[in-house]
Amino acid sequence: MPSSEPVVAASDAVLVIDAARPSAGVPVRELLRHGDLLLILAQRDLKVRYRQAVIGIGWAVLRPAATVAIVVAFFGLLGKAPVTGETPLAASALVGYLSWQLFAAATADMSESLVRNRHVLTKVYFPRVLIPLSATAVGLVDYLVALLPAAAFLAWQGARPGWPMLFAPLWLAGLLAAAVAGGLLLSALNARYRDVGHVVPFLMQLGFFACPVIYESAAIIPERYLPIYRLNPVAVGLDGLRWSLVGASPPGWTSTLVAAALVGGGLVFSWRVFHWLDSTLADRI
Amino acid sequence: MTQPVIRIEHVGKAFHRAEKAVATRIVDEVAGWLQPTRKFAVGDQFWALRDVSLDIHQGEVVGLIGHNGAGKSTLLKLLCRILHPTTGRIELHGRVGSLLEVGTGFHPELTGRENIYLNGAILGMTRREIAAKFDEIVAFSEVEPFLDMPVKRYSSGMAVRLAFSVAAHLEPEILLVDEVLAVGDAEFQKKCLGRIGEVARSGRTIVFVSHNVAAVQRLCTRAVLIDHGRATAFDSVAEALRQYLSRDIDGSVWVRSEAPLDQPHLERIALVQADGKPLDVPDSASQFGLLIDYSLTRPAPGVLLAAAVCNAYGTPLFSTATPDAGVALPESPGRYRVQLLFPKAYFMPKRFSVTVALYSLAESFDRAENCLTFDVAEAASLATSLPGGRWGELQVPCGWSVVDRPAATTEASA
Repeated sequence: MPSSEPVVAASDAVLVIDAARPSAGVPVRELLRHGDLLLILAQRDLKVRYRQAVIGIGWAVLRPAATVAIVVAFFGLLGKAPVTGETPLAASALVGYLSWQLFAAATADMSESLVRNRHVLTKVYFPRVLIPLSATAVGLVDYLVALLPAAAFLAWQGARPGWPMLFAPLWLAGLLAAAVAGGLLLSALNARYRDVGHVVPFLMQLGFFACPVIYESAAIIPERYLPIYRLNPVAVGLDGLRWSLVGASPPGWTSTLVAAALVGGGLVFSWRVFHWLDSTLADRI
Repeated sequence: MTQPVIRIEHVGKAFHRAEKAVATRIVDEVAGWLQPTRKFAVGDQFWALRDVSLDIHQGEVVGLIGHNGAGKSTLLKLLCRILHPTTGRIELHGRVGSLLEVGTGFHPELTGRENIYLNGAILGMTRREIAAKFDEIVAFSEVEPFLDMPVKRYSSGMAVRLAFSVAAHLEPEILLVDEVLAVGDAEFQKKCLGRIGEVARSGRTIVFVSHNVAAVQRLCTRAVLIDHGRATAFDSVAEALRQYLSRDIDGSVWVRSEAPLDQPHLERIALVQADGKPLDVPDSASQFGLLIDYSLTRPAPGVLLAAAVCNAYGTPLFSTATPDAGVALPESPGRYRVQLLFPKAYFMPKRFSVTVALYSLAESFDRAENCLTFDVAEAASLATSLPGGRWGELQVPCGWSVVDRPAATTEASA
């Protein structure tokens, strides 16, 4: 039987809910207290995703492999590879595709996370931001699963470890941060205005071509437009990863700093907007 | 007086009334900004709660009662932080646990074990707490042999027991409960009430929303009546219940407004005379009863109907069910009508309310709590003019007769 000792005194935790001040953002302390919940929500998504599908894990490797094969065949027929210097096309396309997938999957999963979990939102309270944050798990794990075979492939294609490789985690973190910034904003907007959800797959499709996923930006975009093109932080992240892992031409310091500033600003903006919309989330979801 | 554990000050909550009044698409919202006179710009608002102020002290068990749509669940959701108040301020001293539903977040693909962790974490327990109580939770739910099977394989009874078991092991200082008792069979409801009673006795503060007047009466130390968004606090639970039940007085027919789609449900309940004709005011000498229309949307083996009659203060007086009369209801899908007749001249001239439930031994289908309230008029035949009046609410036939008394042999005197 559950224990029923008398409660001594109320803890000194005071919670004040004030109509005049909707939450400007959940204090980090409270978020940390819910760390277990974040992990459990992520685990839930992962288990559900991988449990029933036999191909499940294999899919994470199959998709990039098939895409790279098509890209190589396509540009082979075209006669000109969209790479700079001696970079092997297959390696370049693989790095681009895997990294883009991480960004796109995380953003798309985050954007529908609140709507998908609407039932829980209306019955129990926990900081809502945990839901989109936990939704990045599936994209992340897909990426990690494909990493080992990808690394093997890259090594076989002639990529050798050098000091640029140390920067790879940085570019990756930047891509993830950009995904979180976009995803948080989209999740809140989608929960409030349902038509936003329809636009996301379309945006991802556009992004696939607008960003240097299967091509290197330096190889396709004319020199004078490159700085403008590189205002897109995702483009910078993808080019950066290519430089780190495959030896393609780097995105340049100015572009990198601008991208970092944009992502940082984007995160703050999205966080604010999310929490501003949070107070009326359960009213209309 | 010590500081209140929950302080609610001038709290109000407004919703936009109709879907059309609120832009559900970004395009419309922007259009609204550009042309303020368009219909999407300003929705007309519906105030679910207005200017509610309340202080709740530690150890109190407060019942929130009121009719559907009165605002009880809205107030509870405000206390749970699910909704944000439009006006006012709420202070909560202590850890809050909310039970608005059993099994929130349960995922059918995950096993019982995994769902215990998931549900527990969603309700606010840390992984360590859940692990510490894991064995107790499993024991309480009685699903041990099935723990590592996906929950989609569980029967609905098992799933509900598991979900409730997790919730029962929450130990917050403030517990907010919303009609969780509406699900499950009678056995389970008893368990729920029992657990809430234990939590109350351990000194925690509970706010409890329910239509079940018997439960409110038994568990609550105070009651708050919510009517059309306004709250009135009562120190006497009985008085609050009396006011709640008295609002219904002109209803001699109850109709279910939203029929659940594929669940067997009650459709219409009417107060009738013995011959089935509608009745407005029964009297204490007559025989009257209920005409119950209900619908079975799927085969329901063992289906039965039960009715309970309560007095003006919500105390249940008696109940009766179809098996008591040896009546077996048809079990195949269809729409049926059943007549329940109370014994002739059974009621005193007082106020009563009736609750009807449709269920089978395995499952509870539908329940109309206090759906009809009626006053019984005094008929001339009743000997009610005794000095001091008549006690009791029911006329119970008893046998009075004069019998011989043996003559006294010796009278003991001083």
